[in-house]
Amino acid sequence: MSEILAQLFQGFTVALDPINIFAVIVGGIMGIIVGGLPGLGSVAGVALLLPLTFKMNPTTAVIMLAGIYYGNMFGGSISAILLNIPGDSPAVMTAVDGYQLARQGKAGKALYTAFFASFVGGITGAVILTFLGPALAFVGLRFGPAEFTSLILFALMSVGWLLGEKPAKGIMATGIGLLLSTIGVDMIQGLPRFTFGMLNLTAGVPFIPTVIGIFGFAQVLKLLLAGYEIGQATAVTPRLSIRDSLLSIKEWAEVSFTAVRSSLIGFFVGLLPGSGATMASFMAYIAEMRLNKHPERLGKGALAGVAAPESANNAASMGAFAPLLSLGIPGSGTTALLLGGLMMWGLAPGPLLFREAPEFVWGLMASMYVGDIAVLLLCVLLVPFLAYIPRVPKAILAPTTIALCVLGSFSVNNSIFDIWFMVFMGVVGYFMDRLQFPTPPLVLALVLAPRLQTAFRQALMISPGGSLMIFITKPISLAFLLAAIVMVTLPVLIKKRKDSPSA
Amino acid sequence: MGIIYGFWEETGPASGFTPVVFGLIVTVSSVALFWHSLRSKKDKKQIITKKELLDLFKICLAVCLVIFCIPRLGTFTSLGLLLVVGIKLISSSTWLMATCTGAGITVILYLVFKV
Repeated sequence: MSEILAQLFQGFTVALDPINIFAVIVGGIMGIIVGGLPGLGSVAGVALLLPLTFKMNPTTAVIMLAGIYYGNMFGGSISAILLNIPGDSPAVMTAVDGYQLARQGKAGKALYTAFFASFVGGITGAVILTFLGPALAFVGLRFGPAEFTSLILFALMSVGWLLGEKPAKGIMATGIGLLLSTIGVDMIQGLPRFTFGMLNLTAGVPFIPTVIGIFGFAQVLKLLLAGYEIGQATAVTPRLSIRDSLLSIKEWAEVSFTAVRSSLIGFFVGLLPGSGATMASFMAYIAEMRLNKHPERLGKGALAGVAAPESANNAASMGAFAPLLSLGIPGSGTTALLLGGLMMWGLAPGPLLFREAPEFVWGLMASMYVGDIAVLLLCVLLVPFLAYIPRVPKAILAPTTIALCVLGSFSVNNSIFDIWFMVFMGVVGYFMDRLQFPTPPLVLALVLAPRLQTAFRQALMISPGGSLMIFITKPISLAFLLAAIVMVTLPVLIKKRKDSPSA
Repeated sequence: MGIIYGFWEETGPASGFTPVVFGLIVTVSSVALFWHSLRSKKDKKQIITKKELLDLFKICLAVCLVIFCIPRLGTFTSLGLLLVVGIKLISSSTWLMATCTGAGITVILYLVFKV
């Protein structure tokens, strides 16, 4: 306990470095803006802004990216409350009560509730992460290659199944991601696979252009082909002032209790691979409907209806960091991007990260506290201007995002091929979206596949006679494999039960 | 791939192992989805309309032109042109307005990415 606090204190010396404070504030502002723009979302935001951080040192870069991530979570509520268009899927539940409040002339109060709840969620999540992260890493140290292989399989299976309407589509997206990861020179025998003689593909699929294409360019295509104008949406146009937005003591009390409760739900839901912030906000809202003293008010403009999903989705975004930092397993599309970024900076998230790069891990954790406070202050002070963010017209948003996609892809290696690849993946991402294939499993598979291959190979090397039995004879590995099998079979059984005539 | 590079060696998986296994995952899920679509009476709507496909083609063509221009005109000049033309075509603003907005955004992008 005291050791953790000492480490966290050391982390604060890193996080409070002026350059890191600057990074978290800039990241937070960018996150709020991107999150507030309907139609982009946190994954697209992080994907588009990832290339900006390449010139920084890894700690500052990740602190800035983390700032973008939770700034996004704060900002997602703005368009949900003012336009009834969630900036991101985790803000869907916020729109239910938030928009009703805005229509009642309480847009400022709804926004302040969302910001306060997001702050509570973020801080609660950061506190739990501070203590749970090292414990999880300690458990992770006992994992060998067999356990890691099974854990990655479990993560891939659960993400594939949990996201998307039809589980088979999730699995297929995972499969496509895994297949894409086989492009390039093979790590085992050094043979080129699926390169078609192209030198640009020998190092594998370019990661940044892939994610910018799938999340960024595909979103622009969706935005341009959807045929609606953001500015003409069902907007409530309030004049927001800090004074009118402040909550009364009674409202504070009501919102605080809900926010803490939902934060706990959100964090633990966020820990599970694939569940993420969206599921956390849904579950917190459902819990609020059951536990609130006045459930009849929910859906009609209750502050608790805004606080519950907002605190849960922020806590979940912190929860997703726990398996990422401790085990190297990202739980969502955004954390998969962060993992990709970390690997590009030469850091290998996993149990050893706490031992090998403590200044990075604890600096990042401390920056979560600093970032949450900074983003809250920014939101509170900038509330009169926030109403303008979702009103950026499509005519400016779409070409600017395309320019960012091109620039982001090109800036990594100064390679024209990377831009072509980004466009190709953007079209793939657009059609995946049209066909209701979830895209996060593809990126997650792309990031995790090299680790899966390495761990699988290492497990077989230490297994007597190269036997596959090593995955079954080790209890932790067997538990993960069984969990993966459950993840695959359970939804099928549930669906069959639902479809059966007797049900 | 499995035949050319080998599937399994004495020491473990060969280079062809993962492409075959991952390919199998995609194949099996494709078959499952195909079977489901045959049985399902829903989801018969068109994936994409002709108009949407044409618009998609236009957007991609515009980006391809930018990619073509980058080695000749430079990154930021090409992106500036894309922004000006894009803003003009999507909105009903004047050329002057579109040029000023596009140039402003290009300067911001330049400052953010280069400085």
